[in-house]
Amino acid sequence: MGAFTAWLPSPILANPMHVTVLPQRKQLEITGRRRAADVLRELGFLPGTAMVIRGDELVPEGSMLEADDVVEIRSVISGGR
Amino acid sequence: MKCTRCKAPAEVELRQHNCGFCRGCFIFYFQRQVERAIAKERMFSLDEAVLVAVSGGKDSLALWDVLIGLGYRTTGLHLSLGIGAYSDQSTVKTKAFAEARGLSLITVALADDGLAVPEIASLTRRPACSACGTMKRHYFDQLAVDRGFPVVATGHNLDDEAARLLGNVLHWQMEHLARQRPVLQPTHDRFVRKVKPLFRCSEYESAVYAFFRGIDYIVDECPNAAGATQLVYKDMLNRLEANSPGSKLAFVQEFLHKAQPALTAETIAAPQTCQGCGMPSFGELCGFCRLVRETEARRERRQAAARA
Repeated sequence: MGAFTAWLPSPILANPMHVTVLPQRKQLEITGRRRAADVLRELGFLPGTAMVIRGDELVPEGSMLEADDVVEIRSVISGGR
Repeated sequence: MKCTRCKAPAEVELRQHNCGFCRGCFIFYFQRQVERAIAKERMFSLDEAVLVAVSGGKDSLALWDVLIGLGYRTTGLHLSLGIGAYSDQSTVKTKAFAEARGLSLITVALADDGLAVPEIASLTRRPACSACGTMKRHYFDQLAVDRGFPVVATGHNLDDEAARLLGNVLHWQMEHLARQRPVLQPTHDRFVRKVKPLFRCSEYESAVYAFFRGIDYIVDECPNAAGATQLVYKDMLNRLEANSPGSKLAFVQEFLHKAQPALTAETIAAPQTCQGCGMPSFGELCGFCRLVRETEARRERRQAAARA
């Protein structure tokens, strides 16, 4: 069993996904690959209320984020009154 | 998902339109949306000088960028509201945008007139957003008239309009509903036409456009916006949108097509002339002059109390 698990990507051993949430400047780490929409949902964002940015590209909500990605979640909601 | 237009991999999905776009096609799509809105609503022509109200945020800078690309004659107008680091950063970003593109920009610092928003809100005990709105309306109108601009364009987007519509409907604000249009024609010789070319573009779309175009806008939220009613309405509408994509667009569009013409027929009292500043007013003094006088009176009282 121990020898077998060494071949599997371990959520403990793998680099976590680094996420920065703007404008709050909140930094967090997420373990494992998942859909951008799922990351948004876990962070409490409704669809279409934040951009998921990886490097200089926008990640569509239906696309996968890899376990070691560095991403920025940027809220698009603004307003007052 | 593939780009609806060119079949390349899509970089953005638009659930409300059930489509996706690659970067280049999205930029084309967004610019076309704005171009069509300007043409369909007869907002302004290529011959007219347009004063663009720019805050340094995604919507106004995206709007300015599109208007330049479409060949309109534009000048930016930025009000530095005096809201600490937030306003400083907004001004820096707006100036940088204008300088990088060689654009003409008028900057007015409210603090120079003793009218920084936090001070007014504190002295008059009014909500900061209310004081801010009064300031913006006055300065936009006055500067446009004084400098000969026939039209002021603002970056209000679909989400702003949907939230405003929801608020107006919840309280059945008939006069506000009658004035909620993408083009507001002047009803006084010191009013100019006011237009909202982004009224069909969602907040997400304008943010994506700004990102794709490399526009360095202020991402930080105004510190006074926390808990604002408009954000509550936006959240409610976004929950609705999540379950039923296209709801926000239908809400605003159907209002404009079906209800707004009937409301426009309602008589709205024509504004008089403010005895204080000569701008349009619905009383002896306009809202701006009332606010300024109240601020000055309370400031004097406070100073007198400090001296005593």
